[in-house]
Parts: sequence; structure tokens; C-alpha cells
Amino acid sequence: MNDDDRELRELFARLKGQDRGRVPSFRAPAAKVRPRWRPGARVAIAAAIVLITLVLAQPDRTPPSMANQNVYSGAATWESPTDFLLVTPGSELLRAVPAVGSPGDWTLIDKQRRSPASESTRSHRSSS
Amino acid sequence: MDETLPAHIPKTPPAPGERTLDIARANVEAELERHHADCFAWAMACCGRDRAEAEDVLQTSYLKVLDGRAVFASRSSLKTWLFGVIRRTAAEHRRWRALRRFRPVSLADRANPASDPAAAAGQSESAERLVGALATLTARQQQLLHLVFYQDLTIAEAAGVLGISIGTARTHYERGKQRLREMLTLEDHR
Repeated sequence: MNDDDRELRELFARLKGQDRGRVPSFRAPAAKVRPRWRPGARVAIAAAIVLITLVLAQPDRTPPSMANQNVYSGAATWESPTDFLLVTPGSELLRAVPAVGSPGDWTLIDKQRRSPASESTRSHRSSS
Repeated sequence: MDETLPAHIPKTPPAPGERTLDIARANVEAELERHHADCFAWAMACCGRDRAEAEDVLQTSYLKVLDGRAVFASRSSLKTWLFGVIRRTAAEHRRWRALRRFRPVSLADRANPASDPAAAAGQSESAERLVGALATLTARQQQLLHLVFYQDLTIAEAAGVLGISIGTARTHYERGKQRLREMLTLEDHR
């Protein structure tokens, strides 16, 4: 130990001497009484936990017909009292897809047939 | 038959297990009382010399020892083991206090026991100088110097208390000592 250490030791010793006079009296805290577990109690608790887990993890085995009965259909059938405001003339066109017609109704276009307008035009050209 | 017994005598004798527990508790209490002054000084060092907090930490540590949450495994001396329990409890208190900072503070919480004038008045000039110089060191250095110089532990024992390697403890010890000397010299020149 060198002189510097000795000086530090003296300072600490003085601090220690002063601290001794201010140490609070020893007061043992009242220890909490820890519950003593019986050996069977732990097994019972473990079994209960396993049982609850099994019950909660069990898949839903309700028959589909019964399950459907429980479905609340109120939200699906509800209609707004102001729905009529959305009905405007011609609004059915917005909801329907325009049909061209079925293939049975289609007619072949005769390529040989000329329209009267085009024939008159040709005759007019030949005469000139 | 029982009615003839005085009131202070228990009617049924304690079970053998209970009597053993009582004896064990009495022994532990006696050991705690024997090291009480050192433990309090160490708690003060771990709590930045906050007396009220040190008392709380010490009571919590004693409770841990007495109700069996902290178990002495005879790997070190009882004193160094106790110091380890106190250090960990002080760290828990510190963390808990940091959490409480985010909570609305009551007037009672605002009181700062560290600035207790009665405690400050009782300190001599040299002790005050040392405490002031120690406050400039890191917590680890403060604790290490306290264990070595105040509690007269070896560096290896101090390392065990702090849960660090001897090499790390030696580094903190040397740096702390050097810084402490510098601070004390500075104080002398003022």
C-alpha cells in the first residue's frame, strides 16, 4: 500500500467512523408467511389448467343447421328509410348490362346487296 | 384440562418443522444484525447516499433473505453475498423509481432526502470532501472503492459482489482511485 492509498484509507475510515453514529437500529422486517403448498395441490392446479386449456381449444362441433339459426340477419335485411331518394328515372340502366340479343336473332348481312344510295351513285358515274 | 393452562402457553405444541424454521429465522436475524452497520453503509453507497432510499433497500433486502427469496449458497462469505443481494435490490429500486418518474408526483415524493440538512450538518469537513469527490466518479468506481477502502474487501471479493470479472474490477479500481485523488487535490487547491 502506498502513501496515496493510506491517505484514501484514512479518509474512508473517518467517513466510516461518522457513519457508525448514524446507522439506524436493526429492525428485522416481518417476513411474509409463504403459503405452504401441499403436494397434491400443485397436481390439482396443473390438472385444472390442462382441463381448461383442452375445453377452450376444442373445435366447434355445433351442427351447421343449428349454427345457421344463430346468425342474426337483422343487419342484412335492414333498409334505410331514405332509400327511395336513390331511385331516379333510368337508374335501372345503371344496374343492367345492355343486351345485344341472342345469336338466334342475328341475321347475316348480304354483301352482294347494295344499298339504293350506293347504286344510284354508281349509275351516275357510268353515265358521265 | 386445557382450561387450567395459563394464557401465554400454547395449547398445542409447535410442529417440529415449525420449530426448526423459527430457529433458522432467529439465526438469520442474528447474522443480519451482526452485519447491519456494514450493510447499511453499502446500501448508502448503492443509493448515492440517499438515506431514506438506503433504508428502504435494506429492509427489502432483509425481507428477501428472511422469506427465502434470496438463498445463501455458501459460494462466498455471508457478508459478500448479502452485499450482492443489496446491490441487486438497489438496482431494482432504481429501475422502479425511473418508472415512477412517468407518474404524477405527489408532494411526499418530491422531498429529497439526500439534501437533508440534519444529515449534512453531522458530516465533518474531510468526510464531506470525500463524499463530494466520490460523487464525481462513475457508480461502478464509487462502489468498488467503497468495497475496498470502506468495507476492507479484496478486489476479488469486490468483483464478486458487483458480478464483474477481476480484470474489470481492477481497471475500475485504478481509474476510480486516480480520479478520486485528482478531485481531492483539486478540492485542496480551492
